[in-house]
Amino acid sequence: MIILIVIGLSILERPNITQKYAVPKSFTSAVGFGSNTAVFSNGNELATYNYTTGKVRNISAAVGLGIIDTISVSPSDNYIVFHGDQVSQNGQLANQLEAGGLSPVTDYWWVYNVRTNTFHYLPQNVLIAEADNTQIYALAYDTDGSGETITTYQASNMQSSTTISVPGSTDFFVTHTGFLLQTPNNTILKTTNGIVNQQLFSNAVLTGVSQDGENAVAVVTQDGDRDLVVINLETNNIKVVTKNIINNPVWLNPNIALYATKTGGLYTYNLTTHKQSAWRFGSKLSSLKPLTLQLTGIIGPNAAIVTDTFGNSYLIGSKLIPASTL
Amino acid sequence: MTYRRKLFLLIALLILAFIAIITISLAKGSQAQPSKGTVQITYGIPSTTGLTVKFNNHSMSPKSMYSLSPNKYTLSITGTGYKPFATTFFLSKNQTILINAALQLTTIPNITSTQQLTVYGESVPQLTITDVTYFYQQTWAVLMTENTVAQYIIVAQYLPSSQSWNIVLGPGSSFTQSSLSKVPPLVSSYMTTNNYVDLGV
Repeated sequence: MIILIVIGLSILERPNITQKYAVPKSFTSAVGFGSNTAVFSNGNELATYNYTTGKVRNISAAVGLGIIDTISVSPSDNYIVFHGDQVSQNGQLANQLEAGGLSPVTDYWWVYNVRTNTFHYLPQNVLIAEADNTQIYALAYDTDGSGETITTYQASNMQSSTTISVPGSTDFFVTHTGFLLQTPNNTILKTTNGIVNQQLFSNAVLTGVSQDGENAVAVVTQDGDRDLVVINLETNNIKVVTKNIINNPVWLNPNIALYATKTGGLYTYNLTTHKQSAWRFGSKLSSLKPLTLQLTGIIGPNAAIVTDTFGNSYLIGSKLIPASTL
Repeated sequence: MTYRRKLFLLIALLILAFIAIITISLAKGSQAQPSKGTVQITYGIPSTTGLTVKFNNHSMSPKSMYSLSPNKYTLSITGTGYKPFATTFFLSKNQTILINAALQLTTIPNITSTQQLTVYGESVPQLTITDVTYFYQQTWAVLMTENTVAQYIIVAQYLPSSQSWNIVLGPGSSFTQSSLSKVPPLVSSYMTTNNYVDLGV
């Protein structure tokens, strides 16, 4: 019995995050894209990196993407939505903008259709865009200053279908009945039509929404503490996952949040299984302190991108094969 | 008075005082406000003056926040120059509902002639309009105008209640930084970007 307990404890305490590799700035916006794979921009094309084989593969033509700061992917992996700071001059995307009478020296949101290998730009006033398997959603400000809207596009042909007026928001998530809105004063609103908005929290920041749109994860500030909570969007019931988290959690579609606690632990929370898992660092990661790490992104259940206090970014995980170039 | 009588009187007074306290507290309890909910309204227009706001057909003065009893409500907002707005929602106790009314104008008020403009109720001299830039649902406009002498800039605000354009700045060739406090942020930003402001003043 004692032997079994010792073996059990040794398994529990064994490091499960044993590797770290420095990654370039261009890789810090990478997001999960299928099994063991991340999608990122190398500055010219969209590429995937399988971190268990080390293979890097271009999935788009060389179009002069430029610097990309935000990427999200539809659950089916058919649509990639990204925000580019500025596309490369004389590249295909710059030409596409100019052909549409738009300036290529400003920033845009783009949609890449993986099946047809085509890029579509969204209007210049778009603040945030998201994709599900059939539709693209774009939160935009009215250029005449009269408010904000969410426009829904058919992803297959990028034809806009509906536009609703919404309260001023900095971010949004698609739910099974409508949208969750994040307002500038850290309020979370739930709405179906943008007109009637139910306030769920007055001091909270959304982390992510499950693929079925029925649950959300958020960080709620209460009495000076920051708690990671799960919100049942059907009943509005709230369950505290853990108290006293630090920094901002990151989200891996469809259901995993990576977060750090004040006690110096790094954990994932699976919204489907409702299980927490500790990330125990091996000796090679001793220089990385979860208390001071910026969680930059999570690209798989056991692989994440973190940034230290010196601004150096690393891919951390286990059974990683580094890419020859990223 | 015997000791027994005094004791009896004291006990009787104490019982009366106790009954009085209970009665008062029960009375207060029956008057206590039930838990309410909050309704916030964003109208999306510069001024709510002249609007009629009704919850379940009961008129209330236009405010940005209302504390109401839990209920199903139909909110209607009407005002001259705006399309009527109505929506229905349920309000639970301790719940906050934000209504994004975003009132829409009934007509798009284009400016085609400076004769449409007034300042302090007076009309302005006839000027030729060379360009108009609209803001905020076309309720604000920056006009480039000219006559045979010079070019002039005019900033005007549309007043839906009177369906008229009121000059806020100008006519002038440029404006002081402090005068921009009279115009909303997007108009102010536009004026600065286009060098219609004397930065040295």
